[in-house]
Amino acid sequence: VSVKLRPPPQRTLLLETKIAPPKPRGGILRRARLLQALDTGADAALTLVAAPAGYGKTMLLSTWAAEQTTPVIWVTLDANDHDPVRLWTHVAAAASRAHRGLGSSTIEQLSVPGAGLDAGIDTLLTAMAAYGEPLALVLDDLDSIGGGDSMESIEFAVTRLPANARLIAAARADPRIGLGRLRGRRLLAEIRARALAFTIPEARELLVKWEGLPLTDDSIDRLVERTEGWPVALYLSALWLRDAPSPNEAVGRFGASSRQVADFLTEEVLASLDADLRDFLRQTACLRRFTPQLCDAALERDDSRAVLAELERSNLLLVSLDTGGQWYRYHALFEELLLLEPPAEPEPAVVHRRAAVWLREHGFAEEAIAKAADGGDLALAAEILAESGLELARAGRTGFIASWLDRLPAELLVEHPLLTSGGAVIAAMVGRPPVEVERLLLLAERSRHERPDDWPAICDLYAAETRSISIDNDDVRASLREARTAVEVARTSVQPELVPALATLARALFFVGDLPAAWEVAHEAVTHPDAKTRPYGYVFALGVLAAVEASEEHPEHAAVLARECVDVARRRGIAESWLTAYAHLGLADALSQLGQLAAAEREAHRAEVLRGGPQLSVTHALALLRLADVQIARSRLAQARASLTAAEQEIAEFVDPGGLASFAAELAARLEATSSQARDVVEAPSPGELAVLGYLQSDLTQRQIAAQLYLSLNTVRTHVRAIYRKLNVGSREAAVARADTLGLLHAPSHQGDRSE
Amino acid sequence: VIARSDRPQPRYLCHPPIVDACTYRIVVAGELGRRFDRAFEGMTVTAENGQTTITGVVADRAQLRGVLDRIDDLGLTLVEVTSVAAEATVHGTG
Repeated sequence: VSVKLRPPPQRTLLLETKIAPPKPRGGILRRARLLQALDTGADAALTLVAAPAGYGKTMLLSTWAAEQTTPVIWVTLDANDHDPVRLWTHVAAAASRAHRGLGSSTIEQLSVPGAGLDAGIDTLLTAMAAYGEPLALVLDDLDSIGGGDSMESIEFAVTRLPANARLIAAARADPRIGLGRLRGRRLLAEIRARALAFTIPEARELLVKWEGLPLTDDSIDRLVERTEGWPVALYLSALWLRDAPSPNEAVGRFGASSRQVADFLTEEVLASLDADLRDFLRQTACLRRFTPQLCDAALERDDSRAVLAELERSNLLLVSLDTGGQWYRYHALFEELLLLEPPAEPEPAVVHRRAAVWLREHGFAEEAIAKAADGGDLALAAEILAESGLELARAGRTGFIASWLDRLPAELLVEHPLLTSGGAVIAAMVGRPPVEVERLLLLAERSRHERPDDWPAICDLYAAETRSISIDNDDVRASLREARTAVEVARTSVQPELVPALATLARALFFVGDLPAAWEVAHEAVTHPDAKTRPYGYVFALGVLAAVEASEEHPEHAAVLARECVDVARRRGIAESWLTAYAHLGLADALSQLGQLAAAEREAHRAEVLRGGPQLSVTHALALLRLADVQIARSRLAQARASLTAAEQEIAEFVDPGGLASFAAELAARLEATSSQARDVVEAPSPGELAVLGYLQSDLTQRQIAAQLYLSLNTVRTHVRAIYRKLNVGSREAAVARADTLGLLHAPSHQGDRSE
Repeated sequence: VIARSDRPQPRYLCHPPIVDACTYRIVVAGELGRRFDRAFEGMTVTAENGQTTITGVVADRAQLRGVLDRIDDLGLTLVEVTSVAAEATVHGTG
């Protein structure tokens, strides 16, 4: 069975519709007072344009954007942007579109599965600050992302926005991004419904001057009163009155009617259209965003381009979304009203399914999957996800994949082993909860069992890799066996997967304690030509290599490799991934050998924190042991005992902990020996010496300590000498550590690093 | 005798709305045409006197939120939201 891969998608086309300001249409009133209000808001960090549907928020901002000579970074948000990685990838792409290369580092960072979001945002804000000239970031439809992580990430960005940048957001509801705080600090400018509503002179300009309608002042007043200046209603009025035999009479009828404004006007406008045009509007509304070709495919017709051109000409609330004139949508409110009367033929579900097929063929996998599901064809959705999963994963869309793996029924997933096994390995790599990893792996197992003929070799590799690093990680021999399988499969049939497979094997060999073999394999991975294009595999292998070098007592070498690994991880935005734990472990070991104990303890701490998923326990146990090791060397015996106990508890749970058990035993013995040594104190320090000892924890010099205690410098020196003698130590740090162990210090021990 | 607190007991017509289904009456400005029946499926849409009343059983707060969002999407102006028939939903046993 071969792995079907689609040709590279024309993603840029659809991307353009999200990151380009909609083209300001002809027939749109230029609203000078509002454009001016936007300009005067330039000092505010955030300008909020907040009003219900139909108040012309997008039109205002796109007109404003088109008139700017400075870069405008434009992003139209949609519900899928509740995934902050997707959101910021779009913002970065828009930034690059607005000014060459502005967002490229961020895109690179965010394209790595599980990348650190804040780091990516910071990179973008730094690039914006470095640009130096004024620039604006426009987020249209901000309310569509809900109130979760994405909104928090925007709040994070607003507070860090450089002085040369401003954010303009359009929303139907006030976003939860600390508006009160911004308002209090005068960093917020607001343009709300009251300001966006048409005034009588504006309505006259639109209807009489632009549309040439013979309306009396009385009719204008009536229209503005009846619509309350609601812009969409006035545009609809213009369309409706254009064909009315007697516009003033029609306005009178409208004024006397108690029908809801948009309902009345939409019905009037639709009634005035010919049947074919009306059907076209109703049939295409469910597509949301469309090209002429997509309409042709979905409606099985061949003249959509002409129809859309006709609609655009007649100003029928059609919005052109890209400069190429390919993608369109209807005005949001008009679309909702059209959707209230779905056509009998073809049914919307049929239109959705045909659209899914077209989108799939044209490389818009994400949109195709959503449309297939809208059309009720989950099997098609699963099929598209399976064929595009690898590419989506490499574009950093792991959140999207995970949400669909959650949503699709097990029966369908079983038909796509590539999806489940690939999903499992991604879940393991980005440190998802083990239940999720296991569920996917079990589904993959079922596929192999039920249809062994549809099982591509790469699935063996994914399954073995997942077991080695996740499910079987606490059974070092089983983990090694699985890793060997992964490498074997990669070598024979899936060459592009060799780097991560080798990294997996190097890790397993390291835990078994076969250091020479671990070195060979890790070295092959980091020097492989593909290494630089596989950030996860590369960082993983480089970290293991550093840990091996340190274990073989080449601390200088290990430190160089570990620092390089952390640096690469930081640049690729995966510094917070559990995979970099190996670099921190190697560095802790190396620094400890080089006598830099405080720095070593810090690195061990970092490795301990980066445990990733709760399943990755051998790595975590090793981090705890390394921490205990360094703490013993620093005579922080109480802390060392806590670290060691925690590690021992974890190790007791493991199926086969490999070398961890003997390392733990060795540390326990060393801890015991050091403790008994520490108890042999010849003489207790005097109260005066204890007072000085208390100050030795601080950063104060001996002269400053003398001043604090109202003593002479010589007295303090004498006390210090006595303390060193009595505690049998030779340095200030050792004295503090020893005194800490002996319980002679009342204040908590100072955590600073004087050793560096 | 222990003096009773004068503080009135809180009275909720329909409580707690977090979990219990409740009938809501939602009033929006303007009379809506028949096609809006479809917009609020499962609820009754009645237009009269320049207003439209949308009445129906709402399962929980999330569903109520959904109905209100729908009203926003359709550009309708919300006038009033009330919970009604409290007896029927809270005390109703038969």
